[in-house]
Amino acid sequence: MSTSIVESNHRARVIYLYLVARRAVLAALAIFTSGGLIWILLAQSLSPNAIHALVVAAPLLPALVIGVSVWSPFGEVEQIAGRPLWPIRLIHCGGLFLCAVAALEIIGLVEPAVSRTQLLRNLAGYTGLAWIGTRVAGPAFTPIFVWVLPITYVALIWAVDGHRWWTWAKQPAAVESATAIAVLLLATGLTLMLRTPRSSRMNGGDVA
Amino acid sequence: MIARLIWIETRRNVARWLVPVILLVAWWMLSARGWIPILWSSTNDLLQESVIPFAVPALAGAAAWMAGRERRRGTQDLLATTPAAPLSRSLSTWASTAIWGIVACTIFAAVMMSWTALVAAWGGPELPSFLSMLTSILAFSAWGYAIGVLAPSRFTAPAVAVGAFGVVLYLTNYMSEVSSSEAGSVYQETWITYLAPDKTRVESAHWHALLYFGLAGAALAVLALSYRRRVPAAMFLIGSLVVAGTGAGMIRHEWIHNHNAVIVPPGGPPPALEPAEEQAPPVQVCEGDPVTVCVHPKYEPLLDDAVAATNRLAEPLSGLPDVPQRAGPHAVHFTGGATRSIFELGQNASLDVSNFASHLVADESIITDAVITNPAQIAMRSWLLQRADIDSHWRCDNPRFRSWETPGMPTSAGMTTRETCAATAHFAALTSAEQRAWLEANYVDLRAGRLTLEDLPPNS
Repeated sequence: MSTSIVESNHRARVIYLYLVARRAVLAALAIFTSGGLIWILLAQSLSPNAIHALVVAAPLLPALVIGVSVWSPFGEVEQIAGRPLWPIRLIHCGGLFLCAVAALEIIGLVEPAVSRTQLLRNLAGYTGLAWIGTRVAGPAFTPIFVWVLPITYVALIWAVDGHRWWTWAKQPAAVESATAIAVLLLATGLTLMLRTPRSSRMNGGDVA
Repeated sequence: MIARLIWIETRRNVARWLVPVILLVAWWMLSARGWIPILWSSTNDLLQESVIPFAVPALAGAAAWMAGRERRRGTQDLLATTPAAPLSRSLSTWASTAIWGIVACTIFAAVMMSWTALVAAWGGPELPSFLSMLTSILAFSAWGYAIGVLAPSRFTAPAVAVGAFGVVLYLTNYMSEVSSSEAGSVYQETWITYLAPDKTRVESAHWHALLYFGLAGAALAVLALSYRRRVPAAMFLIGSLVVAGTGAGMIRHEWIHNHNAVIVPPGGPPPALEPAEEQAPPVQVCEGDPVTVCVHPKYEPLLDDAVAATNRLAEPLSGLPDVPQRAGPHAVHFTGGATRSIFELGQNASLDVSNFASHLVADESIITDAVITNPAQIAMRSWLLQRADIDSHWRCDNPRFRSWETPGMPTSAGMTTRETCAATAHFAALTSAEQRAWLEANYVDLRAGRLTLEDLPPNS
């Protein structure tokens, strides 16, 4: 067996173990289940108010599943390994995000009255906020506080009448600045997730 | 022993970290919704609307997280060997989580109500609504805890938090279609909307409390069922569901009763109230000299500013015949509630005296729906408002309402025009003596609506 095949098998095994440690398959299933739930709720909603509320709030569910999935009990052990972790983190985070995009795209196809752009924009923004919250809260509190930042944000914008630059999740799909902010949040969150924190608390767990 | 368990759990509960977050978010939402501390009505309404949307999902999520602690820490077997009943351990963990939520809500309510008690002149706190809010915290945290026990996973806490948030949001925005036509459908709120924990009204607060007590009991019964206390738990579950159903049923009954009382007689007079429901209107409070301002007693904290503004308005007309000396609710009305900036509270309420300017330049008999249409009166009203420095959309120097300068901007009756503003500028350019002389000669005709723009100086 050549060295490259061994190396290739080894890399695949590392990725596999990494994803298993993060419950990635369960997370993907949860994402598609949440997509189904969102679709049922949208199909049952008659009034424009309820549909608007769902379009704003529903992407929280897949976004938070992605956010929670980054927690792992083996963080510190992995960080002392010689192999760079950012490509595996990218596969993990990016893969789950693409699963969520696919789930919401399917909803957009079967429910033409719902703006796919709005759903995807809000998914991107909330996922970014969840990742940022994950890094801010630290590994000890990730599974409990990963949802605090996105839910706080949605609760806050719901209280505000009218459109302001920071209420991007409530704005129509055509507003480009809202999309730009959501993409910026996603990019910031992903960047924070890909880099290895300089220090992490000795608490038996870590994120990403 | 239970009390000691609860004390230990309360000290080590993750929900304590949520208390400052809940307080900050609620404070921010209060600011965004435009809290007016001088009004008890504003305090009572915004207390639940500021606290519930975040506190309920946060505590439900925290409870779900706490429910998985023993499994997460691998202490299930160890704790199973202790003499304490597992249900009592669970109940103490749930209770301590709910206690932190109740603490957060109570702190927030105490601050709001104390503030209002210090500055308000009329009204009082709606304690039943506050207590109903606390029962909704109990119910959502109990269901969060029960779900956390039944489905322990890292995904449970965020799913429960989002689910609770979605339930509140969905109930609050729930509407049903009442009619459909080619022009579109018409939707309106139904009784389901009033099941939302932040839609409690004082009349039905006790039914809300019953509903959420029942739901909390049902969650705890489900929890007990998972610990194999089948028969008593099942009985408790049935009883709790009956209590919750009674609460929901009575909310529906009251909504239908009140809704029909309002909409059944189309175009007719409002339904007569029973003698017991009749309430005497509160005695107005009056203040000021020479112009006296009379308003509802709840606006008393704003009265001094309104008196000063109305007297500034009437100052150039002093001594003239038939100058109004009393500004009642038809001439002075409350404005406030709009958001000014984050965390800025209590600065956005005032009594708008612009209408009193209309009464100064026009006789009450020619004012229709608070609108004057005579251009000479409009011009003189603008002058009075500008001279007294009263903020109003009837001022000519307010660029937002100079409709003739903005193509496409709609105009409405009674608004300033290019011509009326030119007349205002001409009048303002006169000396005080010239203004007084003109007013002495023409004020009665001006109020009677007998003057045109051509009659104003310098044309006259």
